[in-house]
Formats: sequence, structure tokens, C-alpha cells
Amino acid sequence: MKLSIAHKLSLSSLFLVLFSTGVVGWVFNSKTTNILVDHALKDITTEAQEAGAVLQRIMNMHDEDVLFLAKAPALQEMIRAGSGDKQNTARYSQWINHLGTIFESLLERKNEYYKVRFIDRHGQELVSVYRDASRIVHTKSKQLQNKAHRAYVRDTFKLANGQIYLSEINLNREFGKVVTPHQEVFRIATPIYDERNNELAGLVIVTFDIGRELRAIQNYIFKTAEGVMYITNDRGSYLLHPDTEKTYGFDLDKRFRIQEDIPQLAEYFLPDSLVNHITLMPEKTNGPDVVNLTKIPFDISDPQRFIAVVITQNYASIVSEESEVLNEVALWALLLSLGGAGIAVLFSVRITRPIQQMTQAVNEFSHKHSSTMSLPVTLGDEVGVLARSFNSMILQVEQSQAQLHDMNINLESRVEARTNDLNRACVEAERANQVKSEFLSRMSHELRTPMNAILGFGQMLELDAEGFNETQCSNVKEILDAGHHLLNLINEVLDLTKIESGKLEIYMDKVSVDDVMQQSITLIQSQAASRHIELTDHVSGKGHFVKADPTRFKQVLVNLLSNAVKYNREYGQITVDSEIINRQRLRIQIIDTGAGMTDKEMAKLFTPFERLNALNNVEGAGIGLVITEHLIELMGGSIGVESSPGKGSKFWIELRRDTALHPAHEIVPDN
Amino acid sequence: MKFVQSYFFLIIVSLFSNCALSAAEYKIAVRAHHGIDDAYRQWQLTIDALNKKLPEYEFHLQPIISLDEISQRVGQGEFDFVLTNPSSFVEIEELYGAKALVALNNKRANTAQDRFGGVIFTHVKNTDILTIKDLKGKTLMAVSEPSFGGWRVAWMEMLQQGFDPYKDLKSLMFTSSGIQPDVVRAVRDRKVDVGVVRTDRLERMEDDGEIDMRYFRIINNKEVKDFPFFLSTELYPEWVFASAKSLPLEVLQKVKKTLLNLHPVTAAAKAGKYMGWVEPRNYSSVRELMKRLKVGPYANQKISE
Repeated sequence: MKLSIAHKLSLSSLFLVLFSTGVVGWVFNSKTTNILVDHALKDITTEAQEAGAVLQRIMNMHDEDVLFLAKAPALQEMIRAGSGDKQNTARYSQWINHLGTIFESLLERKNEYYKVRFIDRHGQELVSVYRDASRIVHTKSKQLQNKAHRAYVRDTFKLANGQIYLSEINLNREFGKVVTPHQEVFRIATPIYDERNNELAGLVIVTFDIGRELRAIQNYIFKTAEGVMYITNDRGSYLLHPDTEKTYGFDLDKRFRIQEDIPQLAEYFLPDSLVNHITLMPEKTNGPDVVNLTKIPFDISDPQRFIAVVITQNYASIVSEESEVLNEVALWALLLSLGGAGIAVLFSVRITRPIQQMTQAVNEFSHKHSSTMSLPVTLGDEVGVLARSFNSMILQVEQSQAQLHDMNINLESRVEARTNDLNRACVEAERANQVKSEFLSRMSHELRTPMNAILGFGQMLELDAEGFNETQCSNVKEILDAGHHLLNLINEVLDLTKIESGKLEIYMDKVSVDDVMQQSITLIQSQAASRHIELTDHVSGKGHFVKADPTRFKQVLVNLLSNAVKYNREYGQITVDSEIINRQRLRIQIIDTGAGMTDKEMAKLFTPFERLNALNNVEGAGIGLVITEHLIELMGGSIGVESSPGKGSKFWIELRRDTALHPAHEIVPDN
Repeated sequence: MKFVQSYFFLIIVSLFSNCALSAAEYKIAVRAHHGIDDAYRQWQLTIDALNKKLPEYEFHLQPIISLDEISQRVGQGEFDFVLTNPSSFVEIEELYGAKALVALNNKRANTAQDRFGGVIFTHVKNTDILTIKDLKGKTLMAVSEPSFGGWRVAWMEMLQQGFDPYKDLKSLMFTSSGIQPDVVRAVRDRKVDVGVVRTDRLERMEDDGEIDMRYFRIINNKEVKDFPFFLSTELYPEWVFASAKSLPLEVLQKVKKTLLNLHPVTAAAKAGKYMGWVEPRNYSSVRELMKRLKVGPYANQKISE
């Protein structure tokens, strides 16, 4: 996939923005979540402790009430009246009534009080004022109970003057039975001593609605926290539980404790446990919850007495609650990073647009050699510089292109003119050649006719030679010799023109080499003899046959033998030989003992009108070997020469053998 | 006049009693799980009540600590009646044809309880022991192997949860004394990791001021409606008063009627710490337990399950 630089830049900046946002977000989220969760958990402890402080304050206030009552003069008066003589009975009951009134006024002032009592040192209630719905009632003397067996009575009697007894929190009992509906009560008592002899006289006890206070704690803490809240006494028994069946089990013959429900907390309820608050994370509780325990000591004289506030919260929900804020932050971060990404893309596009324009321009230019793209030449940055450079480069390229174009056109016209000239010259040369050939041919014909007349009349003169003197005879002979020589020349020229114009016709046949060789030697014999040259024939008698035109074959042999005679020395030798090259070819060699030739000379051998040793008074027009070569080639053969100066020459021809056993007919070459 | 009447009545009764003594004497074996003296304290008044209501017979109390001994001597025909735990009863029922007459309606924390079970507990400082599975590799103490509420019900519960105490514990110990408070003390003093006692044992010791429950935590705590005690197991029927051999129907009916009529306020019930007696319960769950555990009469049987 090919991506443009704009895409690459956009994608990479997008990636960078999102990646960095993601990493930062993740780190921020994980760290902050922990901090927030820790904070939330600490908050719960703080709330519980604050609630505990409130509770302690309330209890202290009640302490004061009790101590105030204990110091009421009416109490000592009643004690004094109650002990001893019977005549004080009236005073005694008067003081009892008076005390009842004091108790009543306290109940009127303090809504949270259920009951205020005075119990004598035998555990017998003497004065008891209580709240029944909204009424305040004085217990009738018949209804007064003996509470000697109750823990709060026994324990209070152990205290010194002015000391405060705080009871367990439990359910109110009347006549040994738990009152329904349940009244969750807490009792504050102080012993009363007879001022006269410092002997124990009884106790004052205030019973108040602790359930109200516990629920106040619950509400106070649950303003901020979620989850399940339990309040237990210092033995782990429930005072407050979402399942009310489980509360006050110790008063109702049930055994519900937090030790069994949250076993990890059990050790903190040991009498010697010094831990006042603890938070157990899910890995400790083996469950999804985080558990928070806060002890609220309520008895200053005994720090081991406390009520415990236990809150269990689903850890995931705390996290999710705390991370709600984070989610909002994360949302903003996401939006911002998306915005950032958008800007990054925008910038990428903006930055790369000039480059893209450049690219397009270059592309367009390289394809069409021109560009209509407007380039960002006004930019001040590198791209601007590049654009300007590119622009000037284009300008230069266009200029040189135009020059090149002009030169090209010029050159073409010149080449065309030359070509035309050349064509014309060629045509003219061809025509000249034709004219020359025609001229030669016509000239030869035209020359032959008068030559025949000259020869004819010469021969007639020869026949009439009887009447001539020697000089005349010699002259006639000169005329005839010169005429024959001229005719030969003319014939040769005619042959050459025929060959050049392609008009020479060849008639191939099976030819006896013996016959043709003998005829040729016969023709040359006299010429050789005149120069005292010995001719040795190793060819005749071998019975070779070749495929050739018999007339032209003889012409070739005669020409070669004639040359061997002409260019030989006097008293020289000519040897004719033949050799079978292969089944197909037969070579015939004519070897002389002449001056021989250099390589340079040999190269000129087969060129028309070139003659060797032209100065050596050797006759000829210089076209014999040319014609010979053409003829041999026309007959499908080849010709060659081997020579070196001073050692003579060896000319050879090769022709196709005819080895057919029964020749169609015997060809006898004519003379 | 009144005095004369009652005197006369006493003479008649004593005469009648003497006659009966020679005529019918019945031995009642009782499981003494808190010791012989305790057994006498707890049950003698009930026997006295029987003797008083049924002067034609004479009943004798025979406390026996060992359950195996009860079983053995029932087999030898030594006893006429047996008051024992349900697994002991099922054993003698299976082996010697004992028949349940009445079941104990116990008095526990001022409530009537005709069911009981076992409690598996540990010291709260053993924070790594939260479930029965966590007992692996721990030490456990129970009162004795044949004890029903004090061991077998807990053993059954463990088996049902895939825990075999005879294989998976580091060690399984039984008290030498044969009394359950020793188990509780061993756990309190951290001599063993885990203890097993019958229900209400811990609560009674707490009420007596002998232990502080804050030191103990119940394992596999079960909440059963109207059952007021810590409980780790299923509930099983309470003790059984059974006839240990074939007796005249009249005797059986009289004894049964007498016991059923014992009210909670009688001295017998108070001393016996029970609310009264009720019709026998269904003991099939006890039988199944014994089969599963292969104990008592099923010790050498292959059980198809």
C-alpha cells in the first residue's frame, strides 16, 4: 500500500497523540484510582471516628445528668428519711414523690431517656419514672421490681462515689422478659452513698434510647459511604445489622456474631487487641468486599469497652464510584486528544500540501513536460526555497527544451536535404552505370559489325595472298591479328556487360573434364610453344565429370591457361592437375612458373580493368579473371589463387562433380 | 387427720414397693458424657420420678462413660433401658433390637431443643483457617471416636465437603478424659488448631465463665432458624430413651407415659436440664450417617452409594 506523505504524517501524528494520551491516561488513571480509593477508605474511618466522637460527647452529657441527679439533695433527704424510725414514713414518701418529680422533669427535657430510677442497696427499685409513648409515667409501687440480679446493679454497687457505670447495650427487660417492641437501651448509673456514714445507699440510673444514637451514627457515616454497615458490641454481637433478626442475639438466645460472618475480623475482638481501626482489602477478605472496622470506645475508664462499626463495601463499586470522576477526566482527555489529533492532522495536511503540490508539479512535468500547477513559491521555509528553485529549474529546462526542439527541427531538415541529394546522386549514378552498360553493349555490337567486315575482308585478302609480296602478306596478317584481338576484347566487354546486367545465360550439363581440358590445351598449345613453355597435363584421362556449361567451362580453362602462358617466363612450365575435394567437389589447378604475386597484387586480381604488370607488355583488357570468376560462380563453383613472389602462381577452380553413372547424353563442346 | 392419711399412704406405698422390688427391677444405663458424678446429678431425679410414679417397679441408674461399653453390655443383656445418644441407639437397635420409647426434649438456653449437632471451632488467631477445606494439614481434637455430637456429625460434615479428616488432617486427636471441655481448653490454649464439640457446649462454658467466646471462631457456621447455638453441621435428633431388651408392653407403656408427663418445672427436668420428653424421632438420618462413616454395626460393611 502506497501512502502519501500527508497520510503518513497524519497517521503518525494521530498515532502519537492517541498513544501518548493513552499512556498518560492509563498511568494517571491507575495511580489516581489507588489514591482516590485509599482516600475513600480513609474517609470512612474518619467518618466512623467522628461519629464515635459525637457518641462519646452525648454519653458524657448523660454522665453529667446522672451525676447531677446523684447530687440532688432530695436523694440524701430520702435516704435519711428511709433509714431508721417509722415516724419518718410520711417524710420518706414525700421525698420519694419529690425525687419522682425531679426525674420527671429530666425526662421532659431529654427525649432520648426512657427511664430514670433510684434503686436501693438491695436492688429494689424505689423510684422509677418512665416514658410510655409520649406520656411520662411514675411506676406504681406494686410494679416496682427487684433488680439485684442484673449486672448493671451489681457492677454499679462496686463503684466509688462519683464514679460512672456504663452498661452494655442491650434490650430492655421488664420482669425478666425482653420488652416488645424492642427497646435498645444503654444505662448510665452511679452509686449513691449515705452522706452520714458513707455507706452504700443505692444507685441512680438513667436508661436511654441508644438505638437512636446508633442510627444517627449510621446516617452520619452513610452520608458519604455506600455498602453494608454493622455495629457490634465489643464481643462481636450485632447491635445493628441489615437483618434485624441478627441483632441483640445475646439477649434473644441467638448466636449471631461478626466473628463468624467476617472471620478475618475475629482477632480484632480479642480482649487484648490494640487495633482501633483496620481496613481489609479484598485480597485479605477472600471476597469482593473491602471491610472497614472502626472501634468507638465509649467508656473512658475502660478503653477495652467499645462499639465497633464495620462497613463492608464492594471494592469494585468503590473503584467505579471513585473512577467516575476519573472517567469524566478521561472523557475530557479523550475529547482534547481527539481535538489535538484533529489539529495534528490539519497541520500535517497544511505542511505537506506544498510538498504534495511540488510532487504533483514534478510528476506532471515529468510526464507532460509542462506544469500548470501553482507552486508555493511565497512560503518562507525550505519548501518555499525548493519551490522557487524548482520553478527556475523548470524555466531553464523549458528554455533548453525549446532550443533543443529548434535544433532538432533544423537538423531534420538538413538530414532530409542531404538524403535527397544522396538519393539523387544515387539515381544518377545508377543511371550513369546503366548508360555505361548500355553504351558498352551497344558499342560492342556496333564495333563487332565493322570488325566482322574487317576480319571478313582481311580473310578474303589472305585468300588472295598469292599476288602479294611478303610485306603485303605480313600487313594482312597484322590486320587479321589485330582484328581478332579486338573482337576478343569486344566479346569480353560484351560478356562483362551481360554478366553485370544479369543477362548472361548458363546452360548446365554433365561435362567431361577430359574432353574440355584437351580442347583448351589444344587452343593454347601454339601460344605456349611460341614462348617455349612446356605444358604438362595430369588431368586428362582421369575421367572426371562436372556439372557445368561446357562452353563457359572451356572459356574459363582457356582464360586461365592463357594467363599462365602470358605471365610465365620463357621456357617456363605449366602444370594442370585435378583433385577430388569430396564427393561433391572437384578441384582443377593450373600451376605456372611465373613471377608470382604479392598479397596486395592478389587482392586486385578479380577487379575489372586491373592488370598485373601492365608495363610488362602483356596483352589484355584486364577483365578476363573478372569474367572467369563470375562464370565459375554462375556455375555454382568457386575460384582461388595461391602465390608468392618469385615462386609462380597456382590458380584453382572448384566445380560440382557429376557422378551419375549414365549420363543422359554425351556433350561434346564445340570449338 | 391429714397426717394420718399420708402416713398410712406411705406405709402402703412402701409395702407395695417392697413387693415390686422382688417382682420387677429394671436397670437403666445412661451415657455419662460429663463423668459418672455428673450423670448421677443429672439423671437420678428422673429415675426417682419413675420410681415414685411407678412404685410397682424399681428402676436403677447405671451411668457408663464409654459408648462402646454400653453397646457391649446391652449385648450381654445387662440393661433393660438405655438413655444414650442417637448413634449409640441406632447401634443397639441394629444389633440387639432396642426400641425407642421417648426422645429427650432438651433445655438449652431456656428453649426446648429436640435436635443437636456439632460445632467445629478454632482460636481466632488461626486466621488461615476459614473453611473446612483450610483444615488440611492442621491438628484437630474431638472428645472420642464414637461420640456422636462430639465427633461423628462433624466427621460427616467434613466428608460431605470433600474433606477426609482421617487422611487430610495433620493429626486427629481424641481426649484421654473423654469429656468435651478438654477439647475446648486445648483449643483455647492453642494446643490444637481446631476442636469439635456438640452444640451448646461452648455456650454453657461461656455462661459458666470458663471461656470467653471472643477467643473462638466457628468454622462452617450454619444458621438454622430457631436453633440458638453455634452449629457447624446438620442437626440430628436428641438422645433417646430406649428399651434395651424385650419387656412387657405394660411396663413400656407405663414408663413412656410417665416420662412424657414430666413437666419442665419438675425437679427431675430441672436436674436433667431438659424441658421434657417427646415421641421418638426419625433416626434414619443417624443411620445414614453411620453407614456413610462405616461405624458401629456398619463398620465392616460395604456400603453401596
